[in-house]
Amino acid sequence: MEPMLTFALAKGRLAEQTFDLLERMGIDCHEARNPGRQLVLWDRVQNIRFILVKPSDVPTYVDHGVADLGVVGKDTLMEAERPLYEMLDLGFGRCRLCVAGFPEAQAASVEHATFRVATKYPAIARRWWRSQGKPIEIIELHGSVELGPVIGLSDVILDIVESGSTLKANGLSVLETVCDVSARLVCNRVSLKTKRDRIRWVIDGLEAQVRENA
Amino acid sequence: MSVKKLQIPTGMQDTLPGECEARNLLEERFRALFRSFGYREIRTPVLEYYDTLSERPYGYRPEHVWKTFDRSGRILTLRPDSTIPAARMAAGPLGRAELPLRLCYLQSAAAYQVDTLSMLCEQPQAGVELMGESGSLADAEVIGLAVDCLKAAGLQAFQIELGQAAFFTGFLREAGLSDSQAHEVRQLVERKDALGIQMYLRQESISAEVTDRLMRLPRLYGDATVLDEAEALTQSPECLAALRNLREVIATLERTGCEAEVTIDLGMAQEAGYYSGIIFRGHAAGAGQPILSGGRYDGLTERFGRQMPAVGFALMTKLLMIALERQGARFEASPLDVLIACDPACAGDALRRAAALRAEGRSVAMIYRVDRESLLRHLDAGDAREGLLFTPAGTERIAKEVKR
Repeated sequence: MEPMLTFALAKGRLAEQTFDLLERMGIDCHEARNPGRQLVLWDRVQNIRFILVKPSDVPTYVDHGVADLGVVGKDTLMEAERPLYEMLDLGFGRCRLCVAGFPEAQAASVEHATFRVATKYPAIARRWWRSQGKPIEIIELHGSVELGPVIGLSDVILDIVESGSTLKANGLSVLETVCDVSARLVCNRVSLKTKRDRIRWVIDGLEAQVRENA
Repeated sequence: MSVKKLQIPTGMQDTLPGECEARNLLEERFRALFRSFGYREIRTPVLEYYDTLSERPYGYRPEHVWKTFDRSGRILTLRPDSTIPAARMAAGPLGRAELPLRLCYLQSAAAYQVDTLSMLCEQPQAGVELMGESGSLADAEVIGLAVDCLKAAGLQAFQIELGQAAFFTGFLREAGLSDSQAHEVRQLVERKDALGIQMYLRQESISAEVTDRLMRLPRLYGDATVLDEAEALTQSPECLAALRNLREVIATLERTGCEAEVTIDLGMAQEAGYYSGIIFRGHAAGAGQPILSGGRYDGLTERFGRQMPAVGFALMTKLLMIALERQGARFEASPLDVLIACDPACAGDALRRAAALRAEGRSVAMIYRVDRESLLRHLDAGDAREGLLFTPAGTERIAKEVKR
């Protein structure tokens, strides 16, 4: 029997798109697509199991080695700051990590003693403004970050932007792009070595699928 | 009782009797192995001057070490590893010792984990340093000894992975990267992020030919065929010598009957900046992180005023025990031989009996009252194999079937 592989996937669209690729490789994702109340889902023939978790928990499961592989957005990965192997850009889940606010925010902020940033990504924000040599105050939010500048909680936000329509609807615009984001295949550092052939098979298979789609 | 009084600092841990007993057993095996290869045990101070550990380019960053002050205000740190103190020792108090010098240690190291915030900060380690010997034979001796330790511990499935610091630095130098570029690429290779390398080098206007070559680094892992692949990618004498070193080490290990699975990862970037040649890690199935790491550090002792080549490893005993447990091992305190409960009136008889049993080499603990129930509870809990009850009416022997 091949060694068991465990995938940690972020619930929702990223997981669905990952299943699309895996199914084309001959992995049975039927159970994983219809989890019900099950937390651990199997393809027993291939000896692969899936766990569906919150996106920000994917790097945690993989880092601790309880999941060998994970699929997660680059934004979540950068925020988690965990030492994982980042094996593949899966090409979907594309968006940008941006600084947004009212266009005059950047200029006005010079007068402020502190520059306030509302974000779901405090670690990325700290690193970004540190690299710019600018002191900031981070206001950590868990949703509707756009409200920050609108209601006067913060000067700018740092968040992912897909179409930009939410920003526009609130009179905000992108001031700076921090980086491009897409879904990544991550791997535990030990698993990559101890289950080398099996994981190489998954990586090569996914890479071929991604190239075909491109 | 306030709960606060029961807390211990984050990252520290208590060791309970079962674990303690198992760890002692493991450490005795390691000690015997080290001794059989001629390594002399040392202990180093729990505190060192921060200056000793922080000097660039090798040093620890301030956020990674536990710090305190002495009376005069100098910064002290808990030792974050035992290699730097051993190097200091080899140049200082052992400065006149004949080379090669073989040192070993079984002691803890405390550092804030660079990798994972939740991890153990205090790590019991077992390790060796072979100083004054350069070359592949010395490298192979140390790696072979590391393998023997893992086998002696009863670890089932494990792998030794070899990398080469000199290959890595030589490869980046051959590509003509600046120091800051090399630093960035090193971090990306450590994450095996080939795409990140491509994006970064494009942004830095590095030629496509060099970019293609560097993008191969994250994938240069696997069996020995990786060495052929790497050889085709470089003309740097430094890199070629490094690859030759790896081949020689693998050949020596095979010759000496080392049965461990040995693999290569040329993209292994060293955590400790002082490595200069071969680097290696031990991976156990079921452990999320390496259980041992080591390598050659030829430049380290020089900074204490005595130049000599050196190679060593540290085995993280606690991580090894976690791996053993995940592979099915159980660590429980073994039962005492005899537990005696006695009426104070019969204490004389009971104590004489205990002394006689101890003289036979048996372990005996006392309960200084006649408490049959308590005695039975202890026996039920598997604390002792046999109970003796001393009362004025006579002596009763209670033997329980010890379940484990």
